[in-house]
Amino acid sequence: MLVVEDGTEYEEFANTFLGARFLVVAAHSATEAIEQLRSRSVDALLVDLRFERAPSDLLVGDVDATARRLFGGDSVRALRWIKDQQGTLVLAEIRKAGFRQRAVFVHDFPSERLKNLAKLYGDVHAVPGFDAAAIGAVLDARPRVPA
Amino acid sequence: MTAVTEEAASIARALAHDVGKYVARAARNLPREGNLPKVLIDMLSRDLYAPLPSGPTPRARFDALAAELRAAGVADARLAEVSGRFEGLAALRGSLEGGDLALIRRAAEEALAIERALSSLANELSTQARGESA
Repeated sequence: MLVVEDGTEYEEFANTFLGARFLVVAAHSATEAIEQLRSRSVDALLVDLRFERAPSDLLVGDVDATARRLFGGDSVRALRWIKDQQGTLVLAEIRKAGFRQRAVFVHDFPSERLKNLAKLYGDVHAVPGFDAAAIGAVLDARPRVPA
Repeated sequence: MTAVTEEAASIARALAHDVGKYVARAARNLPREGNLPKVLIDMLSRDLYAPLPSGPTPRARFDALAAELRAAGVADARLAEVSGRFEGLAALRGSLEGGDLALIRRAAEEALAIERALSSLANELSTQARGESA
């Protein structure tokens, strides 16, 4: 399983509760994620949505273009939007690079938004919280409890 | 009733993500019966009390975002409820470190209640903001 996030919380969660089923590797940007996907066999993606802690130079998305397109030139709001959506922008890059693995977000998307993401990015699922049983069910894996 | 802005909805989503989701990370996955492995108690304790990688503790992050939300015109009872639950969690901290199983489970329940409250608030405000911008 490839975990893509801006911290280490998903990786620790996946190792603790899904580690019996998956060897967990982590990436912290789209570039790192694609490098990992090119260098090893990956069955599934667990993707954070908000990357509020990531340095701007690691983010996917053009702040100035987004500011012009969506926020009347307001680059502060544009950067916030890019960070808030970063997981989907990273997934777009992963798909563009040709990788189609099942992706799971830990996020409570409105159903219409999730349908739209699936339309854009294929095999995309979402689980509202850090629920190992639900994520395991989506990934056809059983969570474990550490001894 | 004050109109809910997209800015307020965005703050509420940050509350649900930065605070609710992470305080419930271990709490939601604890085995329902029996003793708890130390690795899970330690993870729960970090989820509830340790500073986030960005700096503040979950409670401090909640306080800051709740203040922003109130400044944006949202006075919702769930903010006071969550604040009270964080007070309760502060009182339970010693019990977690001491390994009191019943109180550890109570702390986990508080964490899940925080997640539920913040998630429902974020969903409601987001729906209202979309309705008002439509």
